[in-house]
Amino acid sequence: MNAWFRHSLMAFVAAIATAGAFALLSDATSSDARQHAATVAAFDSLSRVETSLDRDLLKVTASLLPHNDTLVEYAAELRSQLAGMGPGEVGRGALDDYRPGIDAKLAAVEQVKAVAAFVRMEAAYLPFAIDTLVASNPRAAAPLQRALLRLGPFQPLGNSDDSADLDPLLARLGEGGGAEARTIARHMQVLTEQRRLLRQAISAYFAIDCQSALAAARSRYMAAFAERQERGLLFLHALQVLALGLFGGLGWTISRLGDAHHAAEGTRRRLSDAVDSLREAFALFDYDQRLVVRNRVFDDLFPGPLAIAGFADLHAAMAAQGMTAAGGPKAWGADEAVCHQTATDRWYLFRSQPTAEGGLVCLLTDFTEHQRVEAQMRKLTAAVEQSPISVVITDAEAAIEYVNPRFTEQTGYLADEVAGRNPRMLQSGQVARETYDEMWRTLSAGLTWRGELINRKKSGELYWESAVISPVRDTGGRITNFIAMKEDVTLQKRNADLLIDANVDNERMLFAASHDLQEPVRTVLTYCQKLERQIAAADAEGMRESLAFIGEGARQTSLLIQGLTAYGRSSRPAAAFVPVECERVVRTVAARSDEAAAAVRIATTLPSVLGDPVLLVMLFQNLVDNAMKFRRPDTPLEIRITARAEDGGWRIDVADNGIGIEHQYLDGILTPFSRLHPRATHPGAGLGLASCLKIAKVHGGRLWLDSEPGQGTTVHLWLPSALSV
Amino acid sequence: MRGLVAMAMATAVAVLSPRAAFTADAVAGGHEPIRPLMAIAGVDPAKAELGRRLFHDPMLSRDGTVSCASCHVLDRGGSDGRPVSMGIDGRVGIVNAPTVYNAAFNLAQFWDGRAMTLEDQVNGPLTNAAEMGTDWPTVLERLARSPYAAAFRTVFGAEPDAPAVRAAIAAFERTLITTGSRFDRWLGGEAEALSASEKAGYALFKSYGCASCHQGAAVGGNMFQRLGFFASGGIRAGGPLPADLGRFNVTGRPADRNVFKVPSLRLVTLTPPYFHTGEVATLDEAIRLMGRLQLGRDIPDRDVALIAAFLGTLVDPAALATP
Repeated sequence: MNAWFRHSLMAFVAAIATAGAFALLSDATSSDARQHAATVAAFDSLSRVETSLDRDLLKVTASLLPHNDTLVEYAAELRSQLAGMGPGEVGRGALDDYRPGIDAKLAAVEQVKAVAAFVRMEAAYLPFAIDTLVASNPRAAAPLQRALLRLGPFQPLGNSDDSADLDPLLARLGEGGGAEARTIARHMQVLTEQRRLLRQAISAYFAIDCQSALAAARSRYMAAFAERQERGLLFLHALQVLALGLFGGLGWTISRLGDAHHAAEGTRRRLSDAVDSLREAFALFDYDQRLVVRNRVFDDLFPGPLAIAGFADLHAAMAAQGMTAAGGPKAWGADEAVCHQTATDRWYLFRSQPTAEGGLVCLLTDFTEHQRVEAQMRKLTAAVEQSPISVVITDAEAAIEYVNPRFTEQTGYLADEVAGRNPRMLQSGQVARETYDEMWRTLSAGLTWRGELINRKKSGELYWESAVISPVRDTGGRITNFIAMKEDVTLQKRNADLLIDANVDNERMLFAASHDLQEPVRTVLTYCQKLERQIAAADAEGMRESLAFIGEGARQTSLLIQGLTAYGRSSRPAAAFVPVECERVVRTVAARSDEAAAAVRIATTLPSVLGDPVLLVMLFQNLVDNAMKFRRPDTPLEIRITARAEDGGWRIDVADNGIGIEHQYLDGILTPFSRLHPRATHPGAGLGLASCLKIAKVHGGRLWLDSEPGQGTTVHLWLPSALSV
Repeated sequence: MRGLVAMAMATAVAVLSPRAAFTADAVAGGHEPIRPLMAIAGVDPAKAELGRRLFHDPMLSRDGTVSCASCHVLDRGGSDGRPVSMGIDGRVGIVNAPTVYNAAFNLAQFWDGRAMTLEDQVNGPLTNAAEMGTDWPTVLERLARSPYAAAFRTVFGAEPDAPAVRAAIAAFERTLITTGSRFDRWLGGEAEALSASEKAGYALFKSYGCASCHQGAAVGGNMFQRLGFFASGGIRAGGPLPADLGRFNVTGRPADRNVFKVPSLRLVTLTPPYFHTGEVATLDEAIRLMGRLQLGRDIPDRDVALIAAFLGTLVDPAALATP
């Protein structure tokens, strides 16, 4: 467009130049023609005047013209005409040959005039003098009269000296006769001499050939003029061709202008449509701050007769519509201001932006809805942010986009750490692959998946979560996001396990209690019947023996009750957990007997865990008691306690150098009322390790055993760290 | 007899140049060597008026004491009656000031014809140290500061410059034509305009051959002629001066020694003293001197008186311009 405009401009300039050239050419041609006519006339006039001069000079010499006035006029005319013919008009140097000729000719004219005047004088005087002489001396006058007749009239163009034969006669007359006659004869001699001189002067005059120089100059001028005409014609043709070309260009330009006009119309219409389709009120001001374009919304916003002609009116118009603006469109230039229309409680954002051509675009955006949505969004966001359920939002490729603070609390991962990563990072490896497959099948089908997963925290600790994962679809049905809402159900899980354990325990305890209690009770009953008979037989020895058995049965029963009580206490709720120093617990246990104090070694720093101090003391008490109970008689007892961080918690190993346990018994030993050794050698209710396991589970931990018979047993205890619970 | 000769000549020339036979002079105008004076047509009155003012304005001289009219006194025959004129500072010239009347008919200006036009002539006295003694820049500067500037703008459409000044003065001089003399009336057919003796004087003027040089409308002024055919040597009493070489000073040709412009005799009775030297005080003396110089004889007193009487008819003194 720009290039096209430049071309058009050039064509326009060329057209003007051509028109100017035409005007100049025609002007030059007409002035040239005028000048040419004048020059040709001057040539003709020069030739004519020169001829006239020649003619009148002849007349003067022939005494046909008695005065020189015409000669003077012609000479002056020649001079003035020559002076009037500048070199420019006739062609430089064209008259150079002619001017000196004319100068010489005019000088010759003066010569001829002077001599001719003398001849004329003598011709006038001689008859007068002879007439006078005739009156006084006729005889003397007669030869003079004859001589005068013979002298005859002067022939200016005669080439023969007609008076040559008179010379001797005149010489004779000049010597004889009277003084007067001699004088007259002398004058005649002078006349003949002067006639000769005049003839010479005339032939000298006519020897000067000016006419041919003039004719040559004239033909040179005519040739130059013809050449100039030729050039002018050529130039004219060139101009005509150029003009034709320009007319073509003009046509092209007009057609292009038409196209451009249509295009501009179309553009304007499209612009108008586009602007009308805007939801914002749109106004465009030109560099004179006049309103040039506005849309329907703008008209709706400023209805009625209040016409906004320029930018200056805008502020007043907004005020009239009850829009109170914090900044307002006051200054010409980029601006942004929020306006509130109190009557309708609508909010507008005023924005202005300068355009490239120095105008200004003004937009008034109604963002009331936006504000409401935003408030809604804030509420929802707050709900999500503050939700006790951890929320994870991923994109369609399962890259994490958002996690709420609860997620961070739950997993230990900050939002920045997980952004863009796959939730797979949380997998513990303890969930069957089929579960995940099923989950993705469900989700891909666009359905909501519900399930439970074991995941791993940042700390390494495993936890159970109950997850609800739903796909989010856009309006086109395409899945854009997944939202997972997950709840940490580890505690519930643990509590459920504990409940199940408790039930099993209860059954087992009922059975064991009924079984284990029945035996001492039957013993007591048997020996009571025996005692009754022995009392009757007064068998003192037998009575003492029976009382001993009864006592033994009662003590057995008491031990069982004690164990049951302890086991029952081992399932206290987790709500009462407090930070507990394991080392202090161990030391407390060790301090209860000298044997224990001697045997227990704390090899590493023991951690602090969250738990029930009483249960933990019970746990370590049981372990230490077991170690002491199953010691090797020949070896001094040693209980070595170590701790190390593992799986986001602490593993505490309690190793002894006792008798050890056969491998086949390692699993069963943890169930209540199991015992490997006869009560006689190793007293106890068979509830020790079962209680320990139960306490570990209550704390969310695990307990397992390693043993080498004859070498010793190591009890492994894993507890969550105090921070992660 | 002269008529016969003339007719023969006329026939001869007519054969040579057919057109010549029918010119006004040859056919109708009689065969008198003197023609009546006619006012010059086509002179711009505005220029002439401006020229008249300049002609009389001493501002054109260096010290503002001398105007053109100081030496060319219009009511004294266009001359000043002095042998030689007096310019600024009382300085005197070398040759006699000729009359300004009928100068337009002269084939050239000055005694030696060194200026071809009236316009060129203006330069002479203006810059001659013994006349007005100034130069063009001075004159033009004075004119530019004077009321003349406006007049020049009106007449020439430009500020005063030398060509305009010259043109104005020349235009004025072209108006100084002494028409309406008794002799011209006689030429026009008014037979009683001249007395018998004046007519006789005219006849002698022709017979002595005076009219061969003093002819035309201005009775002279239209040719150059040697002063002294029959007598050599200068006419100046104190011996020749360079100016007495006449036209030789202009052309440099030996043949032009002692050649001068033939002066017009129209105002000869009003403009003594005579000749370029201004040493001849009376007209009679001048006529006698011409007879001796040009004809080699003494003209009898009776004839001199007649000729002088005739010369008196060539101008009407009452019709001369007054300043």
